[in-house]
Amino acid sequence: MIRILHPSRFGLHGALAASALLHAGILVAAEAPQFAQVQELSRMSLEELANVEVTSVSKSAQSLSAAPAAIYVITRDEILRSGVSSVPEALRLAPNLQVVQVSAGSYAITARGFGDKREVQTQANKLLILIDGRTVYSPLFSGVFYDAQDIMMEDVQRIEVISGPGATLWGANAMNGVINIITRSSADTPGAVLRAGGGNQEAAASARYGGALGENASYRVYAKAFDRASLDLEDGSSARDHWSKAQGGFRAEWAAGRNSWTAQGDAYEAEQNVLGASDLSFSGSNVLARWQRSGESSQLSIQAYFDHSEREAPSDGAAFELDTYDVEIQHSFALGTRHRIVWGAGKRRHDYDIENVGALQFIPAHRTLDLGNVFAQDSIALNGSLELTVGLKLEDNPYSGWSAMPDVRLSWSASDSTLLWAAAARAIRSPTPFDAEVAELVGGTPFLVGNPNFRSEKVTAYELGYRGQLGSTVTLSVSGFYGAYDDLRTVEVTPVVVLPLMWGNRMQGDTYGVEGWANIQVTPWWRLSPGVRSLHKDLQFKSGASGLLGVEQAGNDPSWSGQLKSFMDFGHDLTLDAFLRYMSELPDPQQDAYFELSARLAWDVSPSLQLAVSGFNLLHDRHTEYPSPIGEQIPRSFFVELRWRR
Amino acid sequence: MSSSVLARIALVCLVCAFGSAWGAAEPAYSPAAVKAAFLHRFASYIEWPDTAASTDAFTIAVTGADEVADQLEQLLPQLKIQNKRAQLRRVEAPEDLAGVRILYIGPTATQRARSLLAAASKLPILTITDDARGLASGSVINFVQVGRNIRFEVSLPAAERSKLRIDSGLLSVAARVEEQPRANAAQKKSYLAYSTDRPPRYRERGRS
Repeated sequence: MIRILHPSRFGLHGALAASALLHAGILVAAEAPQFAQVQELSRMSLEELANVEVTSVSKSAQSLSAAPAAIYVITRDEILRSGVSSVPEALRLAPNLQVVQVSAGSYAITARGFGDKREVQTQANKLLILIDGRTVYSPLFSGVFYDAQDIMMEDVQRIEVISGPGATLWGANAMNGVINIITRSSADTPGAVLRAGGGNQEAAASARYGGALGENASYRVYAKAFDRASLDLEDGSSARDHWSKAQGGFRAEWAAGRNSWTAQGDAYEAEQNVLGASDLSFSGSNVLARWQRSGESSQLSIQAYFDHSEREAPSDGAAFELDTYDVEIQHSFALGTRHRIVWGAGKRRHDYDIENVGALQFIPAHRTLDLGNVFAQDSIALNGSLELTVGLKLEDNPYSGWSAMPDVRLSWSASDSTLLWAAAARAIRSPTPFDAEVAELVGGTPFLVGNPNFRSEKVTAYELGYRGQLGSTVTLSVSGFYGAYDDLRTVEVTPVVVLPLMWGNRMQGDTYGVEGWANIQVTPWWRLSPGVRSLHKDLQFKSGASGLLGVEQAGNDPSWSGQLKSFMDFGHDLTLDAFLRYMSELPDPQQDAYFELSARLAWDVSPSLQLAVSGFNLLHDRHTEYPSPIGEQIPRSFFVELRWRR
Repeated sequence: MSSSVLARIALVCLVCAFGSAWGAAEPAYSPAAVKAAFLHRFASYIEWPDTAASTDAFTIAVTGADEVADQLEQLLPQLKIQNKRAQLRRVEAPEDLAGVRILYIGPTATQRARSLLAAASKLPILTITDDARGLASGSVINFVQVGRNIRFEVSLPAAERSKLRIDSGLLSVAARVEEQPRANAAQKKSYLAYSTDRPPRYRERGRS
């Protein structure tokens, strides 16, 4: 949940005052009849009470079942039982994401296509990723350094993966999807956990300790470190991209009545080998504070964070440093008995400093980017089963100014166990320094330059979905989407003289596809989760386009992928879990379709000690997921782990 | 500056427009009022052990849910529950629980709620939570929102631990009844997050 705020720029004092006035009026008007309600309700039978309709409150995990969007929730249970040790590997568990490992530390992850095509400098850049409300995509190019993002797997609450635009609530970059990583409250993580394990591709250890501070406060601290081995090359030799990382962090919470305060932070440092180029070292730290005031039907949250990251190749001096400051406010409340309003505003500042070396230059090398937004959304109960959600976000960025991102959703609870929904939304990917200010040199001469008039890439997406429970053992979610894209990034030529080439916005087109997944409780001890997604892209150049590099430059995407997860409990102390996944052919450059399998057997030796054996990528000695020029291949791997907790 | 003015106007208009356009629609109830009504109604389906302290008032305690407490404050003084005058007590600490028959812990309480729930579970008190993690917290009853209805789930093992007997009339309305002792499962799988994407593993109490 990311919103930002800047009083002077948005005149927020005024907006707050206006809202407070509105709000005061609402409270007076709404509360009087509510006491009449309780008198009436108190005369009802238990059965009648269970059937009265209430104003919707959407703030807990439960309400996800009523959310009119293609949401897949990766649960903590799924993460722990799959044995994954990194964020991108955990994201493979979401059937609505396209996850491709490129090198030991690098992944291409997207929803609904527009993944990487690195040989033409296309990197997945239409996804918003948040870790506990902190945005982690890079403002330099809108992509994500997945090697810089890590969490203590033990302390994850859940990962919400929304495919499709989520711009109204989540904002910038939530064009094709939103990934919301939520860690547990420190009140939920008392005690000590130690995990240590090793295998042919990884050695890792982590520890967490949590406890109470008096009656109303709690805390936890954690530390983890790992060493990941290089991938292979086709001939079986090492791709020499091994890396290691150490990370630590804390979270503390204090609750007093309706108010709660959260403070959390992390810091990490990593070293990475790169084949045929300078090795990398990168590090970062962040700290976040949040105040929340909750009532039965309202919630106010104000949060601020600071995030620092840096990355350098020490041997040749190329480096960047990035500081992000973010403040945001979000307020949700019931308005009368029919409306649920969420509104908010936010302000973010990025300060970066780049040490330009070699062919890729950012000009200027030092810059401040100011972004801001204000949004409001109303969920309206039209009648007992029909809900309309209307929202609008206005967002400002330093390159293309203000943009409006509207969103309309209709959901129909056809029965207790059936939800049908439809949505139409517009979202953008706003320009970045890479689009607007880059200069790529060949022999010291600019060959490709950024376009100061680069426009936002835009999508208008239409979705239809079904979510329901079939009998007592099956849940099913299916959605279809159609996306109309415009102003996608292309390479254009300078009039008359041709060079340098320049980024432009001369591609448009449509995508459509289906995403679906199910949970089947086959027996009390065996659960199966199949999932599938398909994607069809139909892109064209707009008139005046150079046509260079073809429409394929928009991303090398598989047309479909599927997965089947199996979770088995044997007695109370043994679990056997397996995860089979399929990725269809990548078109250009071509890469064959493949199946892969991972599995994990865990034995609870005692209530405090667990021993687990995992195997990853079991079906091949080594396989390629992305056809990069280096040609990294992912070898079969095993991992043995002990987990102790008290 | 004109853009910031625009933003402000758009925001205020959104709120106003939807506020008036749909305000006249047929009313729904506030969740707090419905929960308050449930709390008082549950009492008629519960049999407390003889060991429960005999008091001259029937006390419902609330923590972490000011709005539910406000509703009960209006409602209870006019009511008799089990032939006793009903009263509300806002509680903060385990020592406030003396003589309490029903304890409701709202979704906003956290660390303090844990210690209260732990203390109440050892007493003949009907513990009711409003927790996204469901009954895993150890309460006897947990509220869940299903679509636009407020429902509840019941843990029979937790009721047994608190020495309460629950009338089948209450069970037949429950959205879900947990019957198996959680035993090892509770210890081993306490990390199971409540997820509506996952079908319930316990018997469904269907209410058509």
